[in-house]
Parts: sequence; C-alpha cells; structure tokens
Amino acid sequence: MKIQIILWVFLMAAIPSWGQDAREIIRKAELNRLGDAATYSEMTMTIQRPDWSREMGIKAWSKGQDYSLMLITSPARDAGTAFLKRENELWNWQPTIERTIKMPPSMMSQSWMGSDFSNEDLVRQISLVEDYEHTYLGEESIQGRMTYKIQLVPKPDVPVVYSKIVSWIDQERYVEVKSEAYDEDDELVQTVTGEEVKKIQGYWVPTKMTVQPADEPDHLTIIQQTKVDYDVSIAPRFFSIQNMKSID
Amino acid sequence: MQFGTLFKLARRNIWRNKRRTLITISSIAFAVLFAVAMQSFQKGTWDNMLQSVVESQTGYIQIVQKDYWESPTINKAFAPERIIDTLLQLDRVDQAVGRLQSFALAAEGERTRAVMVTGLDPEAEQTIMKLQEKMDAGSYWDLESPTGAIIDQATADYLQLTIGDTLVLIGSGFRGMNAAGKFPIIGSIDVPGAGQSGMVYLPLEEAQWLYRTGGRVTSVLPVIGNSRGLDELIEDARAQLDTSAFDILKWQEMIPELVEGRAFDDGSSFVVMGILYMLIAFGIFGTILMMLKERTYELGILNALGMKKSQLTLLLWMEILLIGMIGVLVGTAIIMPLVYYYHANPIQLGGDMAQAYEQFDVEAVMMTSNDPSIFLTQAVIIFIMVSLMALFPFFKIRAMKLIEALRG
Repeated sequence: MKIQIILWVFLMAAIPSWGQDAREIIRKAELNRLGDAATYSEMTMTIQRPDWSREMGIKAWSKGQDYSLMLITSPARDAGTAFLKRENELWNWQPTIERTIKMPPSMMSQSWMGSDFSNEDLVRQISLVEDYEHTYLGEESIQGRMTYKIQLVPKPDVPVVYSKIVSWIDQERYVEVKSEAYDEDDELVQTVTGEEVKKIQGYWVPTKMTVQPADEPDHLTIIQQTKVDYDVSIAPRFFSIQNMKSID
Repeated sequence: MQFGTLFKLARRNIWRNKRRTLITISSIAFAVLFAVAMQSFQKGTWDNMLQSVVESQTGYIQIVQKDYWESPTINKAFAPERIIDTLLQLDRVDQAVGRLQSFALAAEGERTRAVMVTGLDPEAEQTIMKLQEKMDAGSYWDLESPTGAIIDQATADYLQLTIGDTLVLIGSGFRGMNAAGKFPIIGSIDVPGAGQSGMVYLPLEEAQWLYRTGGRVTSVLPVIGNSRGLDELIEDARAQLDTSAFDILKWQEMIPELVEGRAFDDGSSFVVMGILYMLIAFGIFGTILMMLKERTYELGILNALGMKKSQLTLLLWMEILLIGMIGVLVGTAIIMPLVYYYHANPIQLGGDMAQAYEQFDVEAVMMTSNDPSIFLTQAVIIFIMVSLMALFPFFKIRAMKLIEALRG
C-alpha cells in the first residue's frame, strides 16, 4: 500500500516534469538570446532572390522582451530610418519625410523592409516562456549537435499569427539552432536557422540567422551579426520616440 | 416610260391621300427621331467615356512586363530603352514614353489617403494624357526642369493642401525597398471619380527616385494620335518584341469591363431598335395594303393603257420609298439640333448614376454623338425595309387579272 502511494506520487510527478523541463529549456534559451541586462548589436541583413540581392546595415539595441530599437545605417537612402518597439507597439521613423508612423496591427504580417521577416517577427510581443504551452518532442541532431525538440503552442488568449512553433535547442549551449513556424492550417510558414554559434561575454549567440519562407523556396534572408555586446547599460527611457528620431 | 416621269407620278401620287401620307411620314419620323436620339446618346456617352479613360489612364497601347496587367506590382518594372528603340523603328511611331505607376499613401498631419502615383514624361505626355488641359489650379510642369507633384483636387481638399504645400508620400518601393518622399504641390486637376483613390502625378524621374526603380518603368506607351490601324501596329510590334517577356496590350484589353459594358448596352439597344422598326414596318405595310386596295381600278387602267406591270411595281416602290425618306428627313431634322446641342453641352449626371461612372474615373456626363453614320443608318434601314415590303405589291400586281381589276 505504502509502496503503491509512493509509486503513484512519483508517477504524477514524472508526467508533468517533461513539460516543466521543456519550459525550462526555452527559458534558458531566451536568457541566452536576450541577456541579463541590455544588448547592442550591429548586423548586416542580406535579402536574396533568384535574380537579385541587396544588403542593409542595421544597429540594434534591446532590453529584455519589451524594448528594442533598430536603426538602418545603410544604404545611404535609408540611413536614419528607425524602428522602435515598446512593449506591444511598433513605431517607425522615416527621416526623408520627417514622419513617425505607428505600425497598425494590420501591417504586422507584412514584410519588414522587403525582407522575409514580418513586422510580427520584429515585435514578438509575447514571451516564448510565459505565453506558450511547451511539449517536449524528443532529441534530434542538427548541424552535428544534439538538440531538444520542443513544440510551442500559444495559450488561448495570446495574440499571435503562428498557431505552432517547433524549436530545436542545442542541448549544451541552450541556443535555438532551428525553428519552424506553422499557420492555423498547420502549414509550415517559415524556417529560421541559427548558425555560427559563438560565445560572447558568457552568452552563446548564433551570429548568422537565416529565414526561409516555406512558399518561396528560392527566397532567403540572412542576418549576420558583426558585433554583439551583452554588457551595455541602457535606461528604459532610451527607447523613446524622441530618441528614435535622433539616434545615429 | 422614263424614270423621271415615273418619279413625277410617284411624287404626285403620295400627296393624293395627304392624311394617310402624313400619318405614315410622322410615324417613321418618330421612329427615326427616337432611334437617332437613343443611338446618339449611347454612342456619344460611351465614346466620351472610353476616350477619356484611354486618355487619362491606359493610352491606346501599352507594353508591360508579362502578366503585369493581371497583377500590377512595382516589382515588374523594367528598363525601357530596348523596347522604346524597337518601337521607334515601327512606321507610325515617332515617339515612345515610359510611365511608372504604383500606389502610395499621401499624408498631411493626421490625415492619410491612398493615392495612385503616376510618373510620366511631362513633355511627351502633353499629347497622351493631356494633363495641361485639365489643370484646375496652379500650373503644369516647367518643361525645362520639371519638378513637384500635380494632384487631384479631391485629394488636395481632403488633405487640406493647396498649391505650394508639401505632399508627403509613403509606400513600398521597388523590391520591397522603403519608398518615402516629400514633393511640393505645383498644381491640381479636376479628376472625376477621385472618390475611389487619389491621383498624384510626378515627373518620371521623381517617381523613379521615390520608388527607387532606377531607370525602370512599369509600362511603355508609343505616342500615336488616334486609334486607326492599331491592330497592324500591334502586329508589327509583336513581331519585333520579345513576347515571352512582355505583353503588348491594346486599350480594349486593359479596360475589358468597359468594353463589355458597351457591348451589352449596344446589344440591348439593338433589341429595342428591332422592336421599334418592326412596329414601323407594320405601319408602312398597312399603308401599302390600303393603297393597293384603293387603287386596284387605277392600276388596272394604267395597265390597260400600256404601263408594264414592272413599271407599276417600280412606281409603288418609289412612292413608299419617298414616304420613308421624307420620314427619315423629318425625324432627322427635328432631332438634329438636339443632338448637336447635347454634343456641345453634355448632361451632368448626379447621384447613383454618377457613382457608376466615377468608379472608372470618368466624368459622369451623358452626351450625344454627331457621327453622321447614325443618321445614315436610319436611312439605310428604312430603304431596306421599304424595298423588302415592295415585294408585296410586286407579287400582287403580277397576279393582278386585268379584267377583275377593271371591274373594281
């Protein structure tokens, strides 16, 4: 009898423990991505199409899940164009017309600057840890490294365009090396791959990210991080509309 | 007997029964009047509508990248030099110009409005789009150094902008690039139907700068004064151009909904005309029947005196034709001033009718066409109708027994 109870308790504990673990894995990966304080990075975004490609230079500041600021530095025509994310709002500063534009929800699924990223990808208003139910799907080897394969399904009230994300997290470094996003019909929308993982100031960072839309197999957007700094101190007021207009 | 004498007889004969002749003439005149009014309004209104759409939007011919017309996107812009060079080698084309068209958002303060931005060659388009004739306020571009935007008055009113103010445009440029720019407003035009979306016109270079297409355009238009020989021209162009990469569009293909609308309208008026002329035909036939009945004795005498039956038939045919033609002339004479009046002074439409027109960005007017072929058609129809009906007296007279006719 006693043994039965003990077994029962262990069994009960064991079943949700995988869910707990999956959540914990995602939490660790998010910590790696966002850092403890604030981050600053410089990157080059390359948009590749079958008959052309173009590059953009970007500087980005971010603080946790809620605040980020992106500044386009090249090409010259776009230099100074900035995007500010404050919690669930996305603002755009267009220096050529001296206008600040608040991006409406209707524009969230549209392409960002002609790339394969959507504005939604940029805003990511929701927390991968808090707003999703996590399910552990097993282990898989990606790019020669063992990963945890985890399925993330948004909780019922969470406003998000994807119905499901499948994420592969490096078992040792807790870095997302691959993720697939699915729409409401369970069709694959896009695949994001993280490569060239480097250890920077104690955090593992995939310095090359590739976005591959599922319906356009020959389209590709690559983000190459050229500089990452996890040790910057930025106050929340840095992420203001005023600052977005003047930053360089 | 001479033809002239026969005609004299016919002329005198029709006035022997004045009342019947007048009734017949007036019924034909009314039919002609009605038919001319209907056709002339219809033709005039459609001609005007198509003409203005061709002028302000499509041009007679456009060369665009394959499938651009089905799904117009700025990404289908192309370098026009080779196309233009090829077009210039064609006989009728002295000049060809590029246009760049795409949508944008026009903004002023808190207000925004979707606009169609058209980049065009200010000098050459004076003979195609003829914006200079439509200026409402401000002035057309200075051809030496064209710069600034011409916008439609409704958009200007909505954004509360006037000449000299700055128009802010934002949109999606070539290959998803950011397209944003400021342009001084130099003039405004009165575009009908701007309730749909606003119109902004820029010099081609400025539109190319805005949308970041480099030297690319979305369409090339050969400059041709009128629509004559379009098909041959398109045939020639097809032979010269790479049709796997480019579409050569005739204006009808660019506005199929209008062309079909016209065909439908023409079809329904054809039915109405058919019914109308059927009624007239029976009227004339009644006249013929009565005439034959009344004049059996007279025809018998003429036959007995030596007039051949063929001459009698010809005489009756001439009488009826004379009545018919007088009817056509009277009807035409009455309706002519009206046709010319409404050709010069189109009727402005309002309300729902106006909206139906304005969704095609054309002025909501009804006007008449003074195309002489409309009048001529009526004369031809009456002529054919009368000639066919003259078969009846022909058989009647051929079957006529002289003795019976003379006995009355």
